[in-house]
Amino acid sequence: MKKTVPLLIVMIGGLIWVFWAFSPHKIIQDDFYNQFYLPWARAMAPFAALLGVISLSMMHSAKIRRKAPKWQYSFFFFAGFVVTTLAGFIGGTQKGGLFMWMFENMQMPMSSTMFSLLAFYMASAAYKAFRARSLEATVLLVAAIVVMLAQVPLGVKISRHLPDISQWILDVPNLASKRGIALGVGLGSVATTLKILLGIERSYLGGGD
Amino acid sequence: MHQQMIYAALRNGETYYYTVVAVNERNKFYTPAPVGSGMPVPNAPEPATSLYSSLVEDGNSLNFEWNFPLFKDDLQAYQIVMIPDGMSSEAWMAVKDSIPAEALQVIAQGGVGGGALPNYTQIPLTQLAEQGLSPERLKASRFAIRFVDSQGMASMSAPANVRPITVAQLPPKPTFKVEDKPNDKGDRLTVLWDDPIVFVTKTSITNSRGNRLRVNYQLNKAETQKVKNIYFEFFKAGESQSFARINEFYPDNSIMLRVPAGYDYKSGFKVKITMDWKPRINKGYVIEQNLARDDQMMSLMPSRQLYRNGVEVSRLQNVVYRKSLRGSQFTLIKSNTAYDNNLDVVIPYPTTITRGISGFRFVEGDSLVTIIEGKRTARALQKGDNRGSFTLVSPSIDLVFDKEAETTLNTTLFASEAAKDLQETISGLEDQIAELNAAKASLDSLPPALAAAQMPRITSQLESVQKELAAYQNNKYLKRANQIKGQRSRMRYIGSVREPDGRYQTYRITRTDGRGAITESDLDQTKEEDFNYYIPISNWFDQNKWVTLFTSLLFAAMVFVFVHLAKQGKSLYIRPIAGLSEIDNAIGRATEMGRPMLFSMGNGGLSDVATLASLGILGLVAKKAAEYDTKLIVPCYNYIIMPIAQEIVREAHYAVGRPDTYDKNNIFFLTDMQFAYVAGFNGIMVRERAATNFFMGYFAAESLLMTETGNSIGAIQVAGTDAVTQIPFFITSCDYTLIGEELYAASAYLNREPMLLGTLKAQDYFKFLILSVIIAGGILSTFQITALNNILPTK
Repeated sequence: MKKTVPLLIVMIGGLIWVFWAFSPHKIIQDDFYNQFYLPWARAMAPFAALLGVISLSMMHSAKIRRKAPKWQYSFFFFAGFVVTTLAGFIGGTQKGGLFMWMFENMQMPMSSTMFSLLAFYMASAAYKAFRARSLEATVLLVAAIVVMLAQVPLGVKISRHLPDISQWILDVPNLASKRGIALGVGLGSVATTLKILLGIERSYLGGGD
Repeated sequence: MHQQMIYAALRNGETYYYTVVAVNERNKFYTPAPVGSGMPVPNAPEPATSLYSSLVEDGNSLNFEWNFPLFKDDLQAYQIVMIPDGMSSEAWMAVKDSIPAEALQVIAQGGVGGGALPNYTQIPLTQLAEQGLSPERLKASRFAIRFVDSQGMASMSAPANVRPITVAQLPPKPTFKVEDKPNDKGDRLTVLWDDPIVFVTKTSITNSRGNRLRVNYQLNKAETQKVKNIYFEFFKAGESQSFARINEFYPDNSIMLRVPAGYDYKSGFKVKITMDWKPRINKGYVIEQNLARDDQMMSLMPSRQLYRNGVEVSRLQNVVYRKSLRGSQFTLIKSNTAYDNNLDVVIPYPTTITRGISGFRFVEGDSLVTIIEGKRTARALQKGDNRGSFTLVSPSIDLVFDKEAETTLNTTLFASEAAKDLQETISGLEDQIAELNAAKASLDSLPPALAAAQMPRITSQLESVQKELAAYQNNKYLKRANQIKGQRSRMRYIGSVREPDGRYQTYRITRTDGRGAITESDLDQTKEEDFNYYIPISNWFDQNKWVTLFTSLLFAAMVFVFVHLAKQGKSLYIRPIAGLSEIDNAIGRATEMGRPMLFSMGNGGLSDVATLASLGILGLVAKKAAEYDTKLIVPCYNYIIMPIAQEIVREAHYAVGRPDTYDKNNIFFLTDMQFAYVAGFNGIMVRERAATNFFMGYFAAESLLMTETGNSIGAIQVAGTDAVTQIPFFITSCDYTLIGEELYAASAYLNREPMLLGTLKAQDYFKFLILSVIIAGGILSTFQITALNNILPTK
């Protein structure tokens, strides 16, 4: 019973979405999707967010209680959580308030810092990928050099055919493999959806019978 | 500087005061800005930017066509006036706005409707002859147009000469049909007036010898029109024998042309385009264009002329007008170029009702004040009175258009007031009839000539009010609405009547050269001379998706077959997937090292298939981890997924008999900010010195940041994603990677459950089927057979 009811909900809900995909009718697209589903989805999001906040608070409070390694950092979570929440509730989230100030001057620079690290990680990953250890790796290396050179004026200086070769690499072998993956992904998505609709795949339901 | 246009009916000469108050998201009102004031002063409208006149003597018509100025919203009426003989253009321009209206001969006038009504008029020559204006006189005359705005201010245009033309010089008469737009939710109609139009847009030389030309073309057609083949015939400049005929059997907006040896392509070509298509509107349909050298583009470009069936049509415009069932006049929808053959007209479902504010109600001291139509009343507050401040609008709502009375019948929003409201309306109309009858009787006392002049107006008004009264008394929809007592059911009924009633429209097309040569389509009328009105249909099934539906059902059938076979014990071979085979080893390594494992489900939500697949893998990894007593940490990106992940891990611990080792705090929500998640995940990875990392799900830019960190601490990493852009990063920095669909197959592969294996097998066979269709499509297309291509959906 604990699984039958959720499964039934999933199946009925899934079939509605199948119908939604095939039917452009106003009842499905407007009355169901725009006027029923979207408002409900928006209304549910805050409750789900509450679950996340509770989970995070429990995890950090348990860490402090148990004096787990680096437990002191958990105070930063609570401090950040309380300050941000109060700033949002008292001063609002618009520009000019403390909340947006913290977002622009703390959150954004930190995110940008993390993102900028990507360039260095890419270089190290490229070094690993482009080592000509095997025939495949050598082909990869050559293709990468051609494509990279074709992006800069130097490439055209070396050979005027380089941009064409680069475009061919991107348009033919690269696109073919991307489409191959996309085809598999598309089919896999349909198969997974079907498995869920038919109740064959139940892992997303969690435990219990 | 911010600007805000305020729509309000302002009175001239009265001072109005304004301020701006900032309000924040918490409804806090800030200090108002200093009060400013302004006084509306009427000014004359801008004159017509151009006026054209054409005399079609053999067509018995004098045509005028004009262009509105940029600001045209308050224009109400036009008058075509004849410029006094002998007055020069300069003299006219000097006096045109000061010359008294009575001094000019008005030969036509009508409404403008803020620029929405037609911008042309056709005056029969017989009518002008009655005013003493012969064709010869007209040819020698000049005209101007006067626009009058809502304030009664007017402005006159520059003079226009009359261009004598013949019927043969008029644009061909447009014929059109109105179709429902297929596969939509019922808010669009297609007005179709021509066959599909194909035209060359540009060309480009593709080789250094200059003998291979890529010709780009555009095909404009309605959704209901099917074009099978397009034939391009190319002619050298000045020759009538084509040197190349290209059959474009699959329109992709581009063809390749080989320039004949010895011919300099810069001399240009003529291209003749024909088609196989259905349904046909015109017979013998041919489009021709000239391709001439364009030095700026350094290629051949189509010249401005476009010939359809030998007629140069590039300057022609097809102007579509519509009239709603409730409306009395045709209004402009769009002026289309000669390169368009149809127009999608959007007829939205009504979602809002707009009403003017009729008053206010508020509490002042211990009084309840009501102001309606400027009249203020007050009474003492009573128990139960709402103390809020309200803006009042009329409860009247339009219900249905009555064809007999030619009026829209209104009712009230409130069921309890409906009978009273109807009675008041009927009484009002009866009073009007009595007044008109009295006025009619009083005509006897007037001189006969004056009485005769006023009689038709009063009789017409009387007939109109009598019809309206009959409509209010007998209309079946109004009767039915007023019989329904329940408020909700009554509103539902009113909605079901007024919504379609307000969406019926009829159409008309005018074809013009923009200079007064005008041809109107026939009116779309029934035998009873009533207009044909159209309403879009809401479609239940998208006809483009038949193949999708069929293949989905076929796939479902294959799944059933293979699940059935698997259940019967038939051995199903599944190709080995290295990444999945190594999951056990990765867990074993963490166990041996006594370090925890980290599991990331990416940044996808529960609606992502990759996330669902990763939940399946999480269950299997958690089981092994619980079995070996290895700590599994699952930082979640999505708070909706977190409780599901907790439940899955908890169940895994129970399944292997180790509920005591389950710690809910190891599966937690981290953050839903992309890079904050990376920082948190990497921090945990480094602090906990994770031995094994799993990255299963949908990932974006964060993938490499996490896997490179894992790499640097020497963790074994198994990744799986369907994000094509992230697969190279995973392959580079992880030990094993599940590519695309392998991620989805993981759950079945690891579980070895017959049901799941059946779907995997069906998936493989279906992939084979798709591959076969791709190969067959390629081969058939090579032989110009496109039937298979055409049945497959393009989106």
